[in-house]
Amino acid sequence: MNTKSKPFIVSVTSGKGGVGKTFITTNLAATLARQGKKVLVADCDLGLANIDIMLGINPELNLKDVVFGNMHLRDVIIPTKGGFDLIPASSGVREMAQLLFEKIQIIKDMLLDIEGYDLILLDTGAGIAEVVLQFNLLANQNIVVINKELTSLTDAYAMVKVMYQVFGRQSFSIIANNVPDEKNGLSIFKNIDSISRRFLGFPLNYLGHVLQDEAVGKSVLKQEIAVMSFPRSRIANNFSQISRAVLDLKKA
Amino acid sequence: MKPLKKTVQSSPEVTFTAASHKHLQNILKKVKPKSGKLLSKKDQPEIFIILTADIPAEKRTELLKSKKGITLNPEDNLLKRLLELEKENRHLKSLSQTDELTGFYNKRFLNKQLKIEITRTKRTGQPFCLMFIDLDNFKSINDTFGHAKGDEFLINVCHLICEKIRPTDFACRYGGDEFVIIMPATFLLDGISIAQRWHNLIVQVAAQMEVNVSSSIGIDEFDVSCTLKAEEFLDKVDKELYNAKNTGKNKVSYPGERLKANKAEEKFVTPAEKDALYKGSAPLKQKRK
Ligand SMILES: Nc1ncnc2c1ncn2[C@@H]1O[C@H](COP(=O)(O)OP(=O)(O)OP(=O)(O)O)[C@@H](O)[C@H]1O
Ligand SMILES: [Mg+2]
Repeated sequence: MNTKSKPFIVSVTSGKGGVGKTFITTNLAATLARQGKKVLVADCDLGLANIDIMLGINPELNLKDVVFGNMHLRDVIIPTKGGFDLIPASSGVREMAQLLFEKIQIIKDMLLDIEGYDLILLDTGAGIAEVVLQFNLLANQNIVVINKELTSLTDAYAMVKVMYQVFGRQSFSIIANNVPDEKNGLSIFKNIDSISRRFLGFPLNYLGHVLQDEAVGKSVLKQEIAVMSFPRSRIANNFSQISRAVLDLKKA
Repeated sequence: MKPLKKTVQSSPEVTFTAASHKHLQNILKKVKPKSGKLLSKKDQPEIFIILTADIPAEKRTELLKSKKGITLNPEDNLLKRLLELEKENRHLKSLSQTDELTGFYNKRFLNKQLKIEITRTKRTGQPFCLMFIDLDNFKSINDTFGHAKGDEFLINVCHLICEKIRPTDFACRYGGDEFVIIMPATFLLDGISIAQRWHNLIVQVAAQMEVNVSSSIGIDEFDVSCTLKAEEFLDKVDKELYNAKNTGKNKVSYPGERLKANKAEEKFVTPAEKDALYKGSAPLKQKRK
């Protein structure tokens, strides 16, 4: 573990909403934490933040106090039952969804300043909004979550294309979520990968898949983290594989 | 020019215009007219006129031969006509479409083309993009290395842009170190990547010439729903440039809200890409059946 060096920042993004970004962020964070990594999760879905709800906590301070008060990001960090730390955001605050460019810059600068973590995971909002692009830009690596729906593929591809055309990004990782089996995950990845090679000129990196599992719904209802409630489940296994792939990215 | 000569010969009164102020002063030294008037540089930046009746005939023909000046008779209003001719000349010059130093289109052309593009967008529904490029720190070249080096930098940048620009785009010099590029039939997203390209190119030229210059770029899209007039749209893009300047320079600034969700994805994925994605998924569907 090397906490002195700068944390590896990974954003979890998608284009389309509801594909499982938040689910993947919290479960990946918990898996990495269990492996002994110091992990910080930042809820960057500024308009519709919900990690706090997913974890059943009610933090006193959140990103709003950083943006509109004079708190530092460090002051709002809280530990969670997942073994990782969290920067909560406030939900339903209109001003947060339409943050000025400068305000986003303030958050970005503070995030870059944070030390003492191996990884920082950013859970972004849906869509190709400026805020989302900015957080993706800040991250060392973008994980784009897709599922078997065609609209999730086109939206994920749009996200990759925009990040490439606007900021010159050429390195993206894909997680296929909510898939019936391993083969299905691989085939939807191959689809988007071949389109990226053909139209954008670079390949995508496959981190792996997460199976469709009713354990997910159950944990969500209980405000628990699936990989912790069901440590021997197939999806816990999926997350172990993905976490190894993420740590490989960090090393590279 | 022929009628002018005729008049000169028929009259002792002579008006003279020379190519330059200095040239005229030299002539004045030579011919030493007893009476005459040299209009100051300030009054007439381009025409220098001397009214005199006593230029000797042989000097007069000499002057005529030198082709650097014209003699004429002010009595029949030729002076006035000459001034008008000069004015028209200047007008014609400004009517030309290109900037002499850089070879870019000039501001006059820009204003004309911008109106054309707005009409075109209204008719075809296809958006166009416009970017303002302003060099950061450009004055420092002129101050430390002189204007020649500054000009050289501008020429290098503009020639490279001319070489690489899409044949449908218009590059215009707006002012000293300000440029405007109009990109017809272009979505903001593509416009931004082109802006990024020019931004990088300027960085490269600066590195090659070992000067500390970069560029700030503001860009926006004019779409079919936009009701702004040409000047108002220019102002809007100029504000975007101002934003780039104000948030640290050396960057491309664009209106973020235009790239916002709202099924914006639809706009970014071309039919060909979408088609390929859908086709790629087709065998999948069959397998599931
Ligand atoms: N692998 C899975 N198996 C079963 N259900 C899943 C799986 N992944 C996600 N879900 C369900 O999908 C829903 C949406 O997930 P989540 O909130 O993480 O998506 P999101 O991408 O963060 O959404 P938003 O764009 O609104 O932030 C959740 O209710 C979750 O239970
Ligand atoms: Mg979410």
